[in-house]
Amino acid sequence: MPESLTILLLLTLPLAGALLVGVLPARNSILPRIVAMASMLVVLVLAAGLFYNFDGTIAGEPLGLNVPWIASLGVNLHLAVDGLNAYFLLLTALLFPVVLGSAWRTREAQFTLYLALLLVLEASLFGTFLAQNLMIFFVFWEAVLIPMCLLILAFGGEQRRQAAMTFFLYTLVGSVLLLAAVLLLGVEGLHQTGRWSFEFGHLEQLHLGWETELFVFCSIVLACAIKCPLFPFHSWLPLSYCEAPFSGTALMAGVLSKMGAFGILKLALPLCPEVSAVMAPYLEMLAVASIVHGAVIALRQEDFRRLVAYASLSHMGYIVLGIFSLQNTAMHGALFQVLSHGVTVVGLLLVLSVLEQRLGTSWRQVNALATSAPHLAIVLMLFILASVALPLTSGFTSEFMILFGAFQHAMAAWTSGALPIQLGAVVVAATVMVLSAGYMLRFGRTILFGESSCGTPLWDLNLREAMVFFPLLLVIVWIGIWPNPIMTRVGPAVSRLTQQVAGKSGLPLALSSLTSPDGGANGR
Amino acid sequence: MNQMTLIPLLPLLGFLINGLLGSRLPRRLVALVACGLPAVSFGLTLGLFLRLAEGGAPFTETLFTWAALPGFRLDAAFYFDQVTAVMCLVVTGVGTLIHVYSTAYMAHDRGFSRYFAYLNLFLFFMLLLVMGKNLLLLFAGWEGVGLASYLLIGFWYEDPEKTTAGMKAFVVNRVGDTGFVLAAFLIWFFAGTLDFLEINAFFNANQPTPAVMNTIALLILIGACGKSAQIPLHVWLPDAMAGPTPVSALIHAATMVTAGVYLLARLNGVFLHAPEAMTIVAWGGALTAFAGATMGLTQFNIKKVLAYSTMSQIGYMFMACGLGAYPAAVFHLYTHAFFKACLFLGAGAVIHALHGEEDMRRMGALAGRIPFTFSTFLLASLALCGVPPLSGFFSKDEILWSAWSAPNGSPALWLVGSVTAGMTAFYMFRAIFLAFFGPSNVPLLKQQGIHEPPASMSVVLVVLAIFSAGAGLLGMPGVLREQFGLSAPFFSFLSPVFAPGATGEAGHGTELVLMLISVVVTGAGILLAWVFYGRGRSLADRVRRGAGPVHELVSRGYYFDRLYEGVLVRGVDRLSEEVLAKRVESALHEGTLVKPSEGVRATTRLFARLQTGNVQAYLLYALMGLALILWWGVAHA
Repeated sequence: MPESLTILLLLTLPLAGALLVGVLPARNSILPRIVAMASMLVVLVLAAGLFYNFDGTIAGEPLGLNVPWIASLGVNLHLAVDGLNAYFLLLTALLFPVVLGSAWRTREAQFTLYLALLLVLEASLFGTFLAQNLMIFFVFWEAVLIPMCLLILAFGGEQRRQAAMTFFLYTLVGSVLLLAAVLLLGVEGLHQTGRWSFEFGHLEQLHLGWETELFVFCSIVLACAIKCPLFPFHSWLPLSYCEAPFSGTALMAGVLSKMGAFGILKLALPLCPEVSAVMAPYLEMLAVASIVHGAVIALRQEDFRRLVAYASLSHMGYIVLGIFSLQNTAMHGALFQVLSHGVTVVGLLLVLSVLEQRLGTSWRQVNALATSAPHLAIVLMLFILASVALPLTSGFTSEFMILFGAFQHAMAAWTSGALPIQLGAVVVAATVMVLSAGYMLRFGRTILFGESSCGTPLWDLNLREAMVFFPLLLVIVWIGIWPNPIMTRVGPAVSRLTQQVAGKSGLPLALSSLTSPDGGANGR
Repeated sequence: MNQMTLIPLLPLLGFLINGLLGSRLPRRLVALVACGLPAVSFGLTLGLFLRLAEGGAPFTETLFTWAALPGFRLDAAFYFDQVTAVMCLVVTGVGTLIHVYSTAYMAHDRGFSRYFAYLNLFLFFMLLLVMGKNLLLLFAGWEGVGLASYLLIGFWYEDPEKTTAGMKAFVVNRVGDTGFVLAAFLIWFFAGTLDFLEINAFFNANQPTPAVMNTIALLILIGACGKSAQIPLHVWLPDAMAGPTPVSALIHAATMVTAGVYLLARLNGVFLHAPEAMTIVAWGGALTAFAGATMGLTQFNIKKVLAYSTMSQIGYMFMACGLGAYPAAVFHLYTHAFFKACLFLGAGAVIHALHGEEDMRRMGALAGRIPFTFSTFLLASLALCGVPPLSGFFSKDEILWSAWSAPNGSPALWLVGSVTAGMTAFYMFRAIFLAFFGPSNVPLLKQQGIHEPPASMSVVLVVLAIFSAGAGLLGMPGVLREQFGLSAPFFSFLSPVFAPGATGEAGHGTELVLMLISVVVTGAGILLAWVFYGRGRSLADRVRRGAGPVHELVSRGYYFDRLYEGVLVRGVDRLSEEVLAKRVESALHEGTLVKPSEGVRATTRLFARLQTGNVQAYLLYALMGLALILWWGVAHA
């Protein structure tokens, strides 16, 4: 099958599934779920094939699908696999069937609306990750918000209205600035080349003035920092994570948060390399603040979902740290963390969801799983270990590579005369190893061990649930033991990106250079 | 896949079999798998060892490339040289014995297969640790044994105290691991490799600056302190005794806790060029040896006595590493594995006989009731105390001699070591007099049940006792070697790995004198123990009362726990709850959510008020707008 067709199917199959599910009349029937699951599984197979066949070469323009849409404005429906998005596609394709499989018997899965929203969400995520045209990217980026918000609104907990509004408005604020940046880039392109174009390939060639670039960078990074989220833009996080239905939380934590990381990789660094190089140390510090803040707060959370929310904040911080280390190994680590955090956090949340499905509202008091449901306990323990970044799990591979790269970069900066602030930040980030062990094991102890207090017997893992968890564990163990065959596929793209940015400015400059007057003329 | 790769993989296989299917298999089969596979590993290790002993070159095996990028490459590779051989023999040998012992000890436990799965998992990680060719693989094993230790300490997970102890062990170890990881990063920055041979070669050839060398060495030391329970990261080890006793024998005495010593020995190329760090290692070891022994003096729980003793003995090994006497450190590691495992398993047999009683104040007069257990325990205790010609005598003496004669050694260091040796003899015989002699304080209910251990436990005790007695003969001290024309096969076997350390000018005469002194000190320790606890216990009680606060200080472990609990843990908790969760989070919530949304709401209200439905008003707005546009146009004309 030609690549362009596969890519088109990635986008259209879920949409078609959503339409089909929508017209299927049957409520309380299993048919809509089967249709939804089937389309997700086909998409998974296609995406896996795409990943497997992707050889990592990045010669010239990425191929894929390229259809003019609004040709006069340079908006093309240009979608392609380019190395940077390979992991994101795989993660999206993997998590949707997993989440649906886990929610199979829940109340919300009986509604066709729920299934349709999931499928639309999947399609818009694919659009976001595949886009090679900034306008298309932006459209999909925004489109993701709608199904997610409706999911919270329709199937959330008691404070769902507030949660949905907070989530929607907060992320929208970021997007407004992003839109301004998108338009500004289009206008810049028009000025410099005489025609409209939003193709990434073209936009990367533009010579932006310092102020323009700074504005574009800040808007993009703000939008992404809200999505990730990054300290201090995470206030929407606990509420949304706690109020959304488990499947919604899982998708938010697993995939939607990765849009932030993706935006930084795909937009901020290539479009604003000079500013990125200068700003990187400060963003690294923000990332470390996220890592520490999330970890310290997670230590004392009694509510498991809040705990996972803050742990997630901490782990997402590693991704940002890895990216802004502007170092090859760290960048690979960040990409691995995308996969690793995606599957780990979804695994943790789905285990909790299994408990909720078994016990109703009393699941929060659950303990002694090791006695009452030993298999479930083992699965949960494995996710906890991946989250603690134990070697031979994906968490270790990614965090080790991130810290390793960040450390090498910071040492290089220090030895060539910069202040050792970056180095200090990395060392602080490394000590969070201790805290993460603390909060995850505390979580594990509360839920797994002790003497069983709840009278109701607990069903252990059933076959469907085992099938749900198996692929997640497989990813965790594979990346943990043998990451090399996976990372070779994205190697060239990552190398090019690091060179693009690192080549611009050998070393981080002082903050004073932010107001550098050079080349401001283009911006006016 | 060759012989070497199979050594760690067989226990992993055992873990998978027992972990996945164990609950459905008959116990006999579980036990067979669990003991059989490590035994095969032992056999394979023995084969490789013999080839090395015949003068073969070290073995290397690269399994696959873990990750490769431009300027970054790490392999999953194994390396088997003389040090690895010693470690592997101890791990698989003592490990297999303890598995066999466990089949009887855990026979009635509900978690039988789970126990053996964990134990096999531990062996896998421990073998990964000692066979890894680079710091990455070593670290994988390093954290892995931490996991196994966590799982086994909290094996009886229904008891919150035990799971807390497991968690504490893991978290404290993580503190050390942070140091380890940072050391690895620094090593890479300078040497560009994590491979042990290349690291040592690099730092032997060129040293960045003394400050760098010392920093790297101290970071490694932090890592080693965590795993090997050295001050100030020792607090987890006494609590770790919550696990089943064979686990304490295997993990918390014979193998895992000695991993720090192995690490220091492996990276000798770094340490030899960091003289200040070496001195810290030596004195840190001496401090731990001394403090551990003092804490051992005051414990009544038989396992805790042994735990503090382990800490103290590892202190000796660290001291030897700090003096550059790596062969002596490894030698003591090797003899210690036997006698300490024997002691723990003997204690296990006592606890088994008394149905779980660990407090020595409720023992007594057991020598007559379980003479077999007593005799192995006594033999191992004598070996630990360093009574000639048992194994502990030779290995400890080698270290004390280095403390005196090595270039950075000193009589003061030797003195600390010797005093510690005296205290060692005292606390061990205190335990013996309390548990095996004197009046019986065993509750009546448990009196009838006292019995000798079953065969599978006894055999293991005998084997370990024999090795405790005889293992030292492989490493005769220099003076005896010269006097009687003997050889020390242990040291000549290790000689290809460690560059010969500089020997001091102190002669053999001194060595002989020091040796005599240490024998006398040991004898004095035993005698004192008899005076205090053997004759009757009134004197001990009086002294304890007289010592008052000092005794309190020592028996509470110098308040390390309370300090960490009160300052660090409480501090972070308060930071989490009071500062971050309450202040920062709410301020952020206010600043990024509430305030802006209020602003937006106010603006919308303003615009809503404009929409009066009054046509004249709308006309006015339109005109105002037009005026503004005109003004703007004029102004920018």
